Amino acid sequence: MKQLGLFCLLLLSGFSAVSVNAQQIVKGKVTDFQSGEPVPGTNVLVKGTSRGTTTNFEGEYNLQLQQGDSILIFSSVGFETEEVSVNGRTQINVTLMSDIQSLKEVVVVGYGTQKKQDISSSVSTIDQSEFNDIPTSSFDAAIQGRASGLNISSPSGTPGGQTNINIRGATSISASSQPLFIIDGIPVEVKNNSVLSSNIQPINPLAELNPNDIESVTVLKDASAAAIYGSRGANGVILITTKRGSAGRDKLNIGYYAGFSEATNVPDMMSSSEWIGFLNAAAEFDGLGQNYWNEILGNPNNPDLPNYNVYDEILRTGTINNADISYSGGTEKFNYYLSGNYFDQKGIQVGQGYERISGRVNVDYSPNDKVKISTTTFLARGFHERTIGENDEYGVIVNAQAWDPRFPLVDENGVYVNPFDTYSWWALENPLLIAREYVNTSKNSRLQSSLSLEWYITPNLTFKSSGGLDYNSLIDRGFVPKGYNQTDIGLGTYGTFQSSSWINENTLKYTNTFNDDHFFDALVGITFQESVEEFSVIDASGYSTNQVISTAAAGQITNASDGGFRFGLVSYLARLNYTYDDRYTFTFTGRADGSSRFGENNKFGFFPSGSAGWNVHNESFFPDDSFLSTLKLRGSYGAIGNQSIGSTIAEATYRSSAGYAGEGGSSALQLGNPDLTWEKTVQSDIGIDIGFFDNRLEVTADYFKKDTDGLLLNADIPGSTGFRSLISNNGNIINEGVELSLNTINIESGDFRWTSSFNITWLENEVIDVINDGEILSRNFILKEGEPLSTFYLIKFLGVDPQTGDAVFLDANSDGIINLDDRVVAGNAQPDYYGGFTNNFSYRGWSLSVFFQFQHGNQIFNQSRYAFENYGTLKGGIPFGNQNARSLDYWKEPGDITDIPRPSHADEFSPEAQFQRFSTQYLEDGSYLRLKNVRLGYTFPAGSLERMKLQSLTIYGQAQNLLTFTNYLGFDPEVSTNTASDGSLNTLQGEDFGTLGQARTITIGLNIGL
Amino acid sequence: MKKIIYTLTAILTFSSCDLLDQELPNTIPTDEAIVDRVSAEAAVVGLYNEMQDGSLYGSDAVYATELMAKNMKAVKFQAVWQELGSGIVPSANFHVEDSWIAWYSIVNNANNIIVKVPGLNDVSESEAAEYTGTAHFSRALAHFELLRQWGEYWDISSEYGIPLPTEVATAPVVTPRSNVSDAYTLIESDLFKAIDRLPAAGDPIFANKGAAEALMARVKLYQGEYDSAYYYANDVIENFDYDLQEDYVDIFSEGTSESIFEVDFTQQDFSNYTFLMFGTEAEIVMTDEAAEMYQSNDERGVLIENIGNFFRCTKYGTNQDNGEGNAFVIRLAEMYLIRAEATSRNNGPTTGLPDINVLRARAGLGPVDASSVNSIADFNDVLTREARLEFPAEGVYWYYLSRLGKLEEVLNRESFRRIYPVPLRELNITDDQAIFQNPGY
Repeated sequence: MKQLGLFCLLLLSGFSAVSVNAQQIVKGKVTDFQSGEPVPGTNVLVKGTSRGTTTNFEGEYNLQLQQGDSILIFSSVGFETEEVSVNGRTQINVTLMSDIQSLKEVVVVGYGTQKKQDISSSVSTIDQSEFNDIPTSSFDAAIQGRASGLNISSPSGTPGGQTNINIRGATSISASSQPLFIIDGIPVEVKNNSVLSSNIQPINPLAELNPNDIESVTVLKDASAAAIYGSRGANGVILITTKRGSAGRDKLNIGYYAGFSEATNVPDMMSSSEWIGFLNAAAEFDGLGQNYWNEILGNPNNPDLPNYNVYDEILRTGTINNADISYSGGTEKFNYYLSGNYFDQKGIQVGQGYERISGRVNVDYSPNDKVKISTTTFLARGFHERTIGENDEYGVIVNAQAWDPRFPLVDENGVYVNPFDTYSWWALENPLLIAREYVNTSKNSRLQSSLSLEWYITPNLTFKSSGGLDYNSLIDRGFVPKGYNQTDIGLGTYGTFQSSSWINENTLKYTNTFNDDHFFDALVGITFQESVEEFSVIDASGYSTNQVISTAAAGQITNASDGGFRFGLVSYLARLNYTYDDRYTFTFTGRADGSSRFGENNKFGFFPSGSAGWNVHNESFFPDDSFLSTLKLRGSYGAIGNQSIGSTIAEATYRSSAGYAGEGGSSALQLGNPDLTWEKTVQSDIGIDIGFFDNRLEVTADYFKKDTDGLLLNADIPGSTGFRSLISNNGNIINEGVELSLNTINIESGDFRWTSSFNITWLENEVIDVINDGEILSRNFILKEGEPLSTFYLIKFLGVDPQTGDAVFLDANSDGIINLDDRVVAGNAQPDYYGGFTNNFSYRGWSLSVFFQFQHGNQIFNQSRYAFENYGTLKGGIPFGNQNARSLDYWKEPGDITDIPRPSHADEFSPEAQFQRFSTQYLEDGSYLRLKNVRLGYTFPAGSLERMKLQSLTIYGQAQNLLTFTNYLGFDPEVSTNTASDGSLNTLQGEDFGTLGQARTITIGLNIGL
Repeated sequence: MKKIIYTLTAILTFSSCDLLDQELPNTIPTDEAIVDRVSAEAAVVGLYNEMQDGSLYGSDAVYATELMAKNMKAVKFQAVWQELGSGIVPSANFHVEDSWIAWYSIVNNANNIIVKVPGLNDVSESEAAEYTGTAHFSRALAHFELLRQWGEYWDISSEYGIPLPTEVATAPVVTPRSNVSDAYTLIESDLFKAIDRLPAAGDPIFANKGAAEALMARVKLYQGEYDSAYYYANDVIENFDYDLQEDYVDIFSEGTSESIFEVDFTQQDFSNYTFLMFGTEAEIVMTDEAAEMYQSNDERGVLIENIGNFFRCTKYGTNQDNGEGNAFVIRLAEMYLIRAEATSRNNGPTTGLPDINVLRARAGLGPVDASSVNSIADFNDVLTREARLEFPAEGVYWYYLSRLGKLEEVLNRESFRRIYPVPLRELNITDDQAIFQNPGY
C-alpha cells in the first residue's frame, strides 16, 4: 500500500516534472474545527481531476498543482467536505467541520453496525457526551431518562447500589425483567451476588465499569433488533461500546471532578416538646386526663427540655471524587486506548460509601489488509460499604426516626446512648452505632477480556471469531458488634462469590450491492457460552472483641457451606438485511438457542423476527423542496425469549444438606418440570421517523405491544404436595405503549446554538392470565388478572370521621374486625408515563445543559410512616417512637376535616386503632418531576490554550437532582425497598420502608487534553 | 488459518453437548435420591430435618399455640405473632400458610421412603422395618398435627378433614380434603405399622415404639376412644423404661428418661425458641398470667423468670444466639394426663385424680381436693389447669382448651377459632370442591 502510494507520488511528480507550464506546490495543514487537532488521512483532490494526495499523521499535505488547477476538495470520513480556491496561494490550511449527521448515521447493533437509514427496527442510541462526568457510580444511573422506552430507577441513594431497568415494561413475574447487557460483544453479569443481609440495598456489578470508558450506548427495543439475542432478548438489550484508539496524534486526556451531596428531602420529626404535647393529647383523648406524660417525659413547656435532631448525626454531607486519565492514538496498523480511573463516593448517610479503581487497555492491530486483531482488557476493583437499611428492625433510618428526641445519639462521654434507656419502644439500637460499628463490606474484583480476529476473506466476506471472559470475584464481610442490643456475643459473616463465564462467537458476514440498488448484508453465526458460579459462606459467633471481625476470631462457627451453579448456552444465529434503492429496507433475524436451564423436553428454542422500513423521502415522487426532510415508516414483528431464572430450576431434586443430630440427611427440595422452557415475548412495533427543515426537528414515534406468554412463573402450588411453589410456563402479561422522542435545533445563529431533546413513554402493563389469580405477594401486593404488576393489596382507609376524629377503615369481609383479611386492590406502582427533557445551549466556549426527568401516575406505599406516623400508639406502655411533625395537624374537635385522626394510645390490633399498618393511610402518589442534571461548562479557545500549551481545556460545574417536584412525603420518590431478587423487582415495586433515596449532588470538574 | 478454524469449530461443537447438560454440586435428582441403603438412611434422617423446620418444632408451631392460648404474648413488630396473639387469626397469617406446607413436606418425604425402600436390594429386613417404621410414624405425626390444627378432629363424622396424600408428589396436583374419619383411619394405620416395626426403645431424639404408642394414646383420646387411650397411655407408663424425672427442671436437660420423643437441635442446627424469646428483639414473651399462676412452692414456676421487664421461659435456654434447646414433642407426663382423663371418663370424675396428683407431687404440691370434683366438667377444669401448669411453652395447653371446648369460657373467643382457618393461599389456588374454608371463617 505504502509502495503504491509512493509510486503514485512519483508518478505525479514525474508527470509534473515534464510539464512545461509553471508549476506550483501547495502545502498546508488540515485540522478539526472543534478540537483544533490535525486530521490525518484527509483526501486532498484537485477538482475535476483524479489527482490528489492525503494528509500525513500531522494533518499535513504537499501537492503539486498544474496549470489550471483552481479548486481543491478536502474530504475525510466524519467531516463535511470543503472546497477551497487556490487563488495562487502556496500555503492553504483548512479546518474541517465534523459532520454530525454522518456520525449519527452508523449505529451499533447486535453483532455489527448498520447505517441508520437502513434500520427498520426500534433502536435508541445514547452518546457518551450525554452522560459524560455525571456524578454517579455507574453509567446506568446516568442514562436515566435519556432514551424513550427505557425506564431506569435507582431504588436508593446507596453509593454503588443497584438500579432497576426495564425496557418497555416488566415482562416477567419470577424471571428477570432486566435487559441483557453486552459490553464490547461480551454478555456481562449484572446480578447482585453479595451474601450480606437481604435488607441491605444490593450492589450493582455495573458500577465497576468506568462510565468515561464508554463511547456509546445502544438500546435495542423491539423484536427485530433484539431477536439476534434470541432467548435473552425479551427485555431488550443494552449494547455498550467502549472507546478505542484511532490513527492520528496521540491524545492524553485528564479529567477530574469533585463535589458534595445531601439528601433531597427529610421528613421532619417532632421536637421534644411537640412530641410530649402530642402524646398528652393522645392520653387526653383516651380519657387519661391532661398532661399525662409530663411527669414521665418532662414538661413540654419547659424551655430547658433537651431536644436533639437525630438526622444531624446520621446524615452528613456526602463527598464524591473522580479522576480519569486516558491515552489513545495509533497508526494505520496499530491503535490503542488506555485508561485509568479512580472514583470515591461517601454517601449522605454515615457508613455508606463506594470506591473504585479501574483500568482498561483496548488494542487493535491490522498486520495487513486481510486481518485485524482486537483485544479489550478491563480490570476493576470496587469496594462497597453499606448499612442495614430496608425493611429491617435494625435499619439505620427506622431507628433514627423512632429515636426519643430528648436524647442525643452520643452522650457527653462519647458513649452511644442505648435506646432502651429512652422512651422509644421501636428504637432497638442506636442508629449511629448501626451505621458506624456494624460492618457490611463487599470487595468486588472484575476482569473482562476479549480477543477477536477478523479475517477479510474477500472485500465482501468477513469471518470473525472472538473469545471473551468475564470474571467476577466478590468477598463479603459482615459483623454485628457484641455488647450492644442485637447480640451479646458478636456475629460475623464471611462470604465469597466467584463467577467466570466464557464465550466464543463465530460469525461470517457477507455484504454486497447488486445493480447499484440491491444492497445485501447477511450474517450467520454460532456461539457457545458457559458460566460457572461458586460461592461459600461462613457464619460465626462468640467474639472476644469487636476489634477483629474475622470469623477466625470467633468462638464458634455456626454455619459453613458452599455451593454453586452452572449454565451453558449454545446458539445458532442468522440475519439478513436487504435494502432496495435506499427506499425499502428489510431485516430478517433468527436465533436458535439451546440452554442447560430448561427441561429435558425443551432444550432448544427458535426466535424469528422480521421488520420492514420505507424511506418515503427517497421516493422520486417526494418533492425535493418539501419542509419534510426525512419521512420513514417502520414496522417489526417477532418473538424473543427470556431465560433469566436460576440454573437449578427444571429438575426435581433432593437437597443433600438435610442433616439431623450430626448425621447427614437428604430431603425433597423441589418438584421438577421437564417441560420448562423460555418465556416467549411476541412484540410488534410500528414506528415513524420524521425530519423537518433539513432535520432541524426530528420526531420518532413508536407504538409497541409486547405480548409475553408462557411466563416463567414461580407459582404457588397446593401445599399438600409439601412444596410451596413450582416454576412453570404459565400466564400472560401484555405491555403496550407509545414512545415519542423529539430532537430539535431551536436556534443556530452565529456562535449561539440551542438544541433540545424530549422523550416520553406511555406504558400500560397488564397481567392477562396467571395460574393463581389473586395470589398475594409479600403481604402488600397481589398478582391479579386485569391489573398491572406491583399492584398494591391493602386495607382501605376511608378517612377520618369528622365527628369523632376516628380513623375509619373498610371492613371488606364484613366480619366486624379490621385485619389482613380486609385487604383490597388499592393501586399500583407502575407509572403511566415517564421520560426526560434536555436543553443544551452553547455560545462560543460556553455550554449549558438542563435536563429534566419525570414519571407520573405511580403510587408508593410509604410503610416507614407506620413507624413514625402512628398517631401516638403505645407498646408495652411505652410510646412507639418519635412522630412525624406532620401528625401535629391531627383532628382536634368535631367538625374538623382532616386525614390525620385524633391521636390515641391504642395499637393497631385494638378496635380503637387509629392506624392500620398495612392500609392505604400510607399509600401515596409517587409522581415527580426532577431537575435531574444541570451542567455549565466553559471550553477555552485555541488561543489561550496555546499559551497554556494544552490541546484542550474544559471546566464545568454540575448539579445532580437539583430540584424535585413531588407530593411524596418520604425522603425521595425514586425509591424502592424490595430489590433483593428478580421477582421483587418485577412484582414488589413501590414500597418504601426505611430506604434513604437519591441525593442532591453538586460537583465541579475539569477535563484537560495534552 | 482455515485449519485452525476447522479444528476450533470441531472442538467447540464437540463440547457443546456438555454445555447443555450441567450438573449442580449440592443437589440430587429426586429419582436418584433413594436408591440404596446409604441413600435410604439419609432420607430417613431427612425426615427429622423436616420436623426441625422453623415453622414446626423449630419453634413456631409450638409458640403459635402458646400465643393463642394466652400463655405467651407478641411484643414486637411481626404481624404474624401479633395476629396469633390476638387470637383472631386471618387465613393469610404467615404461620398458618407456612406450617401447612411444612407438615406436608414431612408427609411427602415419608411417602417417598414408604414407596421406595421395599424395592431396595441392599437393605436388610430389619433396616427396612426401621426406615419405613420411621416414615409411617412421621407421616402419622404430621397428619395428626394437621388434623388437630385445621380439621374438626373432635367430630368423627365431620367432612372437615385434611388432604391425605399417600403418593410421592411429582406434579402440582391438589389432594382434596378428606373427612375426619378417613384421616383417623390413615393415622392409626400408620401408627400400627410404626408400633410394629420400630425398635422398642432408644434415644428419644429418634422415633421408636414408645413414641408411636404415646402418639396413638393421643390419637385415641382425641377420638374419645377412652379404653384405647387408657391402654396405650398405660402401656407407655408401665411397660417401657420411661420414668418421670425427680426434679421438674431436669426434664429440660434433654434426652432424659421422661422424654418419649423430642426433636434435637444443636448450635449449628438450631431452633428459634431462644431467639424469639430472648435478647432485645424478643418477639414473644410469657404473659403475666402464665407466669403468675404458680403457687410459690410449685417447682414448675421457676422456669419462668422475669428478665428485662418481661417474663420469659427458660426451658429452651436463655441465649438468643444459641438455639440448641430441643423441642419436647411428647413426654411421659402427658401420658399420665391421658391416663387420668381416660380413667375419669370411664370410671367417674375423681378416679383420674391420682395420676394428676403424681405430677403435682413431683412439682412439690399436694393432691387435688377431690371434694371439689363432682362432675366431668369439674375434672376437665382441673385437667386443663394442670396441663397449663405442667407444659408451659411446650405447645400442649392450647389443645386442651381446643379439644375440651373451652375457648369461650377461658379466652372469651368464638368456638370456631379452636382450629386455624385453611390458608388463604390454598383456597386461592384450588377449587372450592377440593379445598374449602373451615366453618366460621
